[in-house]
Amino acid sequence: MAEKRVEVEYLTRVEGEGSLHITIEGDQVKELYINVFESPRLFEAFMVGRRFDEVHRIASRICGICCVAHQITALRAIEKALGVEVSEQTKKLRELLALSGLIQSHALHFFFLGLPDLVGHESLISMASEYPDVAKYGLFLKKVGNDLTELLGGRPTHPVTTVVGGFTKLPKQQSLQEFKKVLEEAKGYLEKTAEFVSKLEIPQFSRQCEHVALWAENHYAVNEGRLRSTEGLDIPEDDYPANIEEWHEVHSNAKHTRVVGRDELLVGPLARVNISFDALSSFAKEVANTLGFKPVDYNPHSQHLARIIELAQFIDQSIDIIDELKLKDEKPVEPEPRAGEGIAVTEAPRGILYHHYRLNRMGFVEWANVTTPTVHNVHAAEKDLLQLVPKIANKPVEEIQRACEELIRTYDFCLSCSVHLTKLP
Amino acid sequence: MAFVLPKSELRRVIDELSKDYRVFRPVAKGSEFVFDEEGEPAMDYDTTILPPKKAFLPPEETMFTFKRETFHVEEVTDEKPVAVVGIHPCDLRALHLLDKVFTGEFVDPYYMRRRQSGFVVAINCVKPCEHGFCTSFDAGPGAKEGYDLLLTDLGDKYLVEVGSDRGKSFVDRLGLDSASSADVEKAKELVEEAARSMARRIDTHGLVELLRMRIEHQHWAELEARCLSCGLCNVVCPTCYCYNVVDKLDLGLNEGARIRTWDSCLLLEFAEVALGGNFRRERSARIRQRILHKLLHFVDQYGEFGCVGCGRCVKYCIKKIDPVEIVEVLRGGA
Amino acid sequence: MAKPKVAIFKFASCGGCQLQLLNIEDKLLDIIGAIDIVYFPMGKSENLEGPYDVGLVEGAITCAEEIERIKKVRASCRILVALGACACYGGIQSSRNWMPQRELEPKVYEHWEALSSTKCFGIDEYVPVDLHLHGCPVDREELLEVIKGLLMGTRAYLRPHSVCMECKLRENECLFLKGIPCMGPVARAGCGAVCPSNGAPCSACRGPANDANVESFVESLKEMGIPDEQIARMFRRDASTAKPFAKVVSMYG
Ligand code: SF4
Ligand code: SF4
Ligand code: SF4
Repeated sequence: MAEKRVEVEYLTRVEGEGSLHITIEGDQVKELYINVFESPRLFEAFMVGRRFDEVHRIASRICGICCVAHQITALRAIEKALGVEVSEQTKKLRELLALSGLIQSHALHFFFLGLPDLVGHESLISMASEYPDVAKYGLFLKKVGNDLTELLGGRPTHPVTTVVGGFTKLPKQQSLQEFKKVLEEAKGYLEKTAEFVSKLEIPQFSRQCEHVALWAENHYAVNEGRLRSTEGLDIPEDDYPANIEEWHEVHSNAKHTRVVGRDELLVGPLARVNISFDALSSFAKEVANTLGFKPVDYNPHSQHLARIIELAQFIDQSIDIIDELKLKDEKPVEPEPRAGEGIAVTEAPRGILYHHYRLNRMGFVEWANVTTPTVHNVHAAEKDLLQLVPKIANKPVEEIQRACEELIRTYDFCLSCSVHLTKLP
Repeated sequence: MAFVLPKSELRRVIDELSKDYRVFRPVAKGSEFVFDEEGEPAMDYDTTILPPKKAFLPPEETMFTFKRETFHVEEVTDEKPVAVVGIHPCDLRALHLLDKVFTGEFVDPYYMRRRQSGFVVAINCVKPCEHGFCTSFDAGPGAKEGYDLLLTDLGDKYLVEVGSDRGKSFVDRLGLDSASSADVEKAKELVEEAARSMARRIDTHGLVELLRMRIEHQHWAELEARCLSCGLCNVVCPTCYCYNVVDKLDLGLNEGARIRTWDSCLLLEFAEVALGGNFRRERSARIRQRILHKLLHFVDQYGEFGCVGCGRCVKYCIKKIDPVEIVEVLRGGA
Repeated sequence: MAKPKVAIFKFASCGGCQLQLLNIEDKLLDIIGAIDIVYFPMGKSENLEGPYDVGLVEGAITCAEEIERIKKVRASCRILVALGACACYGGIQSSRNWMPQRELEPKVYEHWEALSSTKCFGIDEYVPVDLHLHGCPVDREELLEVIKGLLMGTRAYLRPHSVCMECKLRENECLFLKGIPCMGPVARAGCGAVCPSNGAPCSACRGPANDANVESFVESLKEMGIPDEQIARMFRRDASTAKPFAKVVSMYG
């Protein structure tokens, strides 16, 4: 029987370096894997020997796009290990900071990396000539995220004000108030974006798998919560290691994860919207309505829609925090070095992010473990492809390839981030 | 001609000036002070990070904008003149020295315009600052000239002395009471007392001749090892006037602006010329340049010392490189 | 004049420096109008083969394949720009150079025998570089200046001196004088002293300033009571392969 090969040597509009290999025989997939050739950076190794106050700055460099999430997660894990309790104000500001990172990353992915697929362009650059308005919405929304990160963190990428115990510098209440106007303006653009997208054709494809996300009572969980899933998982973050395991599949080059006793999981915007739909703001629900989104949705392509819904949610959530905040001049809590262990799970733009550290009694890292959302999702994406490819196996190779690439891009992989993914010869 | 101003009315001075001027005054920034256009005046400050010269010679300023294709040039001018309230005598004397540089043989229109239209309210030091040595150059702690108004802290009020017609009409506008001769006397005593308690001093006697003979002194090499060449001392100096000029263009490469920024002779690239030549590659040559420019070359060129003894360079230097100490070593003393 | 053909490459890095290009939101469409970005896998799907006028390289060289790849990249670009601390000095991952390789890999990977990682360096360990744009991440203003310089055929003015100067120009309280070990005095400027301006000590992500007096600075750290171990850690960060920094790490580590 004729063999078809789909070889994508360099997945584009994906952060980091990966490739896709499929061998098809008839309508059977003989081999299929996503290979990450992003070179090993060995973060967990060189974090060892670092003092507690350096870890979040180093963790930030795991990924330039979701640096904020890495910082916040590392800080909380380290603070747990040290027994540091931060103020309510710090928690609020950190949530606002996390939201800014989520807005930036979602805007980047949706408009720059994802949307071109839905409108038949190869990039935002080429899309901008046909849809200049949409490109402008995208740039505006992305800037909103960045400017908010800068306002709180001193700069958009690898912010500098975050420290164990709090912040080295607080924003001015007045600047935050003024920023609300920008957030309000952003809502207008988001509405227009939703209308635009509602007219586009989203590929129909569905595959049920376990969606996992942080969940909190009456709140759209971002920095803290319980881990919940569409299959009934409901655990505190400290139980993460006992419930989500890594394993190595022989036919694939990537390290995989699964829910213990079950199978692969999907994390990220779609999982979050599915699990916390009730907690969405009314505006976010309106946007969902415009987009025709209903939970629980198992179409990976709906991840695009989930990102727009979440942009609405994150903007509203930011406005709420700004309204609640009455900034007082606070110095960071001074930590006492001590031995300890800390786990933190947060919602990074691409899904649950897990940081786990063990400190010695001087407060130096003895052992570190980081699992990024993409580690979970690579496996889910491979499973999607395994289901998709037989259905389109009779199509020309280019078409199969495009369909596969588009599906992969809905995941917004961050391959630099997936420090865990191993690489074999 | 002297008047009194109750301390509670200082705010009124600033508000009144704000009608016509951008008013720089000392305000607290953490445990330091800076001259700023906003904020509560902290008149009993010891010193500021940047000197008040920044009001007349901004750290960065756009001189003009241009269009390349049409050679159209447009000069940038300030909308409002500047006033400085609370300038110490040393910094005031520094302005006098900068006037020599920028309004003498070569006229710098930007600086000159600001100086001519500017308003200066000085304040005498009744409490000497930790690092200052102003008496060495007769630059403080009392101001002698160059102000529109001069304040002296008398406890609950300021003595206000008038130094110019502009100052006089401003005092009239405020409607201040005349000072008693006792107030004037008290101010004089306070300043004299402050002068007596100044702990640091450069002995300027025969200094110029001495320095001419110390150009090859080994101390410069010792400083070479110590100095971090960070240029901080130049940035905080009230009499440093070197600047760098850069053009900033837009992405179309047509419109642009010519911008000048403060420069620093301690930096390696300061005396670099085309093809990588450098007149002061050695750090020792750069420190020597800074010290000798202030204490020798300035005298040669303008007939006065180019240092006013404000003490900022040593206060902010991480290595505590100190002109007072350098002169002592060069003199062969302590 | 034809628009210069620009390619953007990635090696071992976080993607943050390429991202800075997209983070210039206000001018991004103008940039796209001025230069022709023909190879940029992170941002577009149609990527042309070389030769290119300008190559912007992000990322460090950490394994044998990358050594081969950077050589090919060099050959395909008329002007090669090292973009960010990773490309200039190996970045944060260069800090692993001081740990024995055999201890490192098993910590992260089960199948560590299969890994071919080498010591981690900036790209000019292997190929000549025409321009270094420092920082972790690079500064957007500086990146714009470099792009304009490329368009004009001139070398952009990038501040080569220490961070202290920019810090003082912003009238920050000096952290060092308050007893916080800030690396500003030996670090290269250009970032606008963003860390100290926000109350955080500089960690010299831009590598050494052009005339950094590292010995004298280390002496001050010791006077401040900073232990040797910490001194080594301070220099073992984003620019640990820069010669004056590497020397300190070896001496105190
Ligand atoms: S220099 Fe820093 S920001 Fe740039 S790629 Fe490397 S780690 Fe990321
Ligand atoms: S805070 Fe750091 S960068 Fe700023 S002047 Fe002090 S030592 Fe220099
Ligand atoms: S202050 Fe230092 S660490 Fe911070 S960005 Fe600048 S050079 Fe890098």
